[in-house]
Amino acid sequence: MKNSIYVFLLGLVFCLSCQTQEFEQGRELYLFYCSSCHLESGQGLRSLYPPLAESDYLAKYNETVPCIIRKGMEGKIIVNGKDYNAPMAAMPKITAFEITNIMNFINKSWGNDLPYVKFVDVKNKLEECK
Amino acid sequence: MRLLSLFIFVVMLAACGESSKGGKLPILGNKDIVNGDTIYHTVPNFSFTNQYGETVTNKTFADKAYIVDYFFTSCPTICPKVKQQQLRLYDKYKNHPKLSFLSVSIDTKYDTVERLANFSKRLEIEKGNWHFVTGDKDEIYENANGFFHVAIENEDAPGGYDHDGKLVLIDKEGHIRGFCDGLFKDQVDRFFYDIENLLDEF
Ligand code: HEC
Repeated sequence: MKNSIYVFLLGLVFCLSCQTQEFEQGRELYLFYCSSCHLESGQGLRSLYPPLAESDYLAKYNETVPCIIRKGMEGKIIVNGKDYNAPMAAMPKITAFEITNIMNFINKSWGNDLPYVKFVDVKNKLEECK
Repeated sequence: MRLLSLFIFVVMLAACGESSKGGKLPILGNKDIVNGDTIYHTVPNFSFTNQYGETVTNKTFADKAYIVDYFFTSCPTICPKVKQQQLRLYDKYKNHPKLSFLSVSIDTKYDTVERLANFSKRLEIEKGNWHFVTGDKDEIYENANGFFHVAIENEDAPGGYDHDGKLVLIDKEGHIRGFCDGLFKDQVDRFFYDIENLLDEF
């Protein structure tokens, strides 16, 4: 009896972990490029790295995110009522394809429910970033 | 059921083997025997400037243990993760009279006192137990090995510098008594025991 409960729990764990695999590529890319600062669950770190999880800034300026990633950003910003001011380095070599994948992962993770982005839109946006 | 308890027993055994709980922490590094006395490795002499513009030297830690790491504020890869782990240690020991933190920047060009101050403020560090320092570039690079650290300028490395994420535990005599890789939560979990162990010597 006990054993079958373990088997059941194990199965449950597998099922749950499958469901979060939707943006597998985006997730891998996020872990590689972004998680060192914004951390594994997009929670950010103290007043140094702002959160991406349920960030009002991310929601409001979603169409500029390709430029933030490619060109970096600095200066004071306010995210969820808290101010942040540290430079985020540019990533000149990251591709439009990678950015699309990362954004779709972020936009649907950790409580975020922002629109899907399309590769062509990201590509066009990148051409107009300053 | 019996299998399960055997399993738990084995896991517990393995866990015991990993941490060197009980017994004094060893003194690490090369030893010399001079006239029958053992001379242990001690960390080099240093003089840095911290985020408040104050001078920090070996004397600052004359009656304290301290934990040393090498980092730089614009480090894109490992440093933020190490800082996340260090903050767990800091949160536990921030008011401890016998333990301090020393974070040495290897980017002496960019990490001015002002930048270090902003970095420390944004990590919500209270003035006192955690020194973020800069100093003479050659001194910092030459001393790195004496602290069991590696620091190399390298254009091809992320952010321009090669270094490691080690946290090195030093006692009040300047002896290195333990270290862990600050990138890994489980290593830092074990490091808590080493620290407690060392603080018991005070
Ligand atoms: C080296 C650390 C670092 C890395 C790596 C990093 N960021 Fe940032 N990020 C920051 C900092 C610092 C800010 C705040 C910038 C400011 O104060 O102007 C920021 C701000 C942001 C913002 C706007 C504020 C918010 O929280 O909504 C977004 C969006 C963002 N980053 C996305 C990303 C994405 C996506 C990646 C990976 C492709 C990434 N960042 C990688 C440090 C980093």
